[in-house]
Amino acid sequence: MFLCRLKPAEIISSRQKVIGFWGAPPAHALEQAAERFPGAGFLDLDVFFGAPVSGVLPDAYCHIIRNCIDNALWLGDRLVAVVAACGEEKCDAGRYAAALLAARGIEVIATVNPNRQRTAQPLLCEAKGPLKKRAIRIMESIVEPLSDRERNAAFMTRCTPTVGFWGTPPHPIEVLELFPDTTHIFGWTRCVEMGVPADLELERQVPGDLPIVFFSQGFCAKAMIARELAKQYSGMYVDVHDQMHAATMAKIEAFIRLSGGRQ
Amino acid sequence: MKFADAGSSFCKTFSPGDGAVTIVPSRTMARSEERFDWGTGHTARRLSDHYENDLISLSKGSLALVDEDDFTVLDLGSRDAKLVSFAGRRPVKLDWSVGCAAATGATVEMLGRFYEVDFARVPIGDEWTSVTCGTYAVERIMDAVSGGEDESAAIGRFIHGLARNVFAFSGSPDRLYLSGGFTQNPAFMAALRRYAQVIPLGRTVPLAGLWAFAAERDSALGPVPFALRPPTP
Repeated sequence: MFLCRLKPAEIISSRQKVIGFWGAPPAHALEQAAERFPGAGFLDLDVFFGAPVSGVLPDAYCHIIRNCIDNALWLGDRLVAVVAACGEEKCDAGRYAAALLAARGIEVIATVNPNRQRTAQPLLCEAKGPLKKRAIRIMESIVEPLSDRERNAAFMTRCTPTVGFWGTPPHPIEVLELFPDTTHIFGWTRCVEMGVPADLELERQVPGDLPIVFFSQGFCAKAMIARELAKQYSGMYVDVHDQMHAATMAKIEAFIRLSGGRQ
Repeated sequence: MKFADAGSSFCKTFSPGDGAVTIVPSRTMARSEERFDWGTGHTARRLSDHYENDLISLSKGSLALVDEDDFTVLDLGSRDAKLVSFAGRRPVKLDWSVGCAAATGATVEMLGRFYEVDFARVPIGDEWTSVTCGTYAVERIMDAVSGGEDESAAIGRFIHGLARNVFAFSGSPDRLYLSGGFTQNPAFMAALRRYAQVIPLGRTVPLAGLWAFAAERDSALGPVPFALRPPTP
């Protein structure tokens, strides 16, 4: 099982077949799909690749789910199946999106991932390095787990945090470029690295003495947790929909800077 | 050393030794090649050696000028509102409303010019105009005036509605420090004082913030000078 490293535009212009997925489906479901479609790499449909807007979803809807739908429809016959997270580890919109794609003739393998056995340490979450790169690698690890070399490197670069990021990988992902290398990751992204994407208890765990940006994608149900935790821990709640406006960037920069987070 | 706070409408500059802040329209600054050592506000970004975003300079200036642990500062500009709240002198709320330009300073200023109104004589009563959308609110003023209502009274209701919005945006505090040009608008101050104790900080808080940053690098600069401090009541 491997990740397809081509962008959808390249996939469309080639003969490459891909298996789409969203959320964090269980490994056995991904392995079964890989066996059924040999030669097809996995593509994370949550990610924004510049797909044309299909117009299937309302404008006021979670951009991540819009990515899932628009990417899948854009790929056309290059997409052999979608392994769709439809359980509490994703959100209700995951189920609805799966039904919507299935109704358009796309093969959808609906999965749930209720695992509560923490199978990995939060190595990348606590390593020192560019936040965006670490978050992307965590999501890639759903299909391609960290190698021993990567685990060792992450372990050796564990750092004392100066600031925290809580949430899912955001759209736009460039939000993460505002954070210093000494940022620790919390929330759902941490749950994914530890192999328990539906672990709400872990998702809500944050240190009390660290300035944390609690991020919520616009129109995401996680907003209620993000806002509550931000209040409880004197963090900053940020909600971003389509674009990251200058005001949002300024808020994040100011919070990090004034909280002593920038090293 | 030169400091600049170049917002959408006005650019405020200051250098050590100046007796007062110099204020010029930002549109002239945007076309100039003048450089600043420290700048804030989007017009200053490309003209400054050291740049701080608006919320950072506002926050730093607030901390330099207000000697309290827990307080809230609102900066009401020509087309936006910025908010910072501190608890234990740590920022716990940062906000920047840029969504609707119609409901802030530029609109009030344009209304005043259009109807030739002296804001010192605008009455603030119990009634207000809903300013959910500034454009609709302006339309209501025009309807009221064409229906025979006094211009000052109609604008007073608009300003009262704006003050209510600003108070809610600030988190409805008992006490509010106010920064920006609106501190010089007596009608707005009267309206806001119906809801909270309002302490004006004047228009120089971001410049005071830049000064504080510069002084951290060069202690010879000393404390924030008198010209950048709030006007005495």
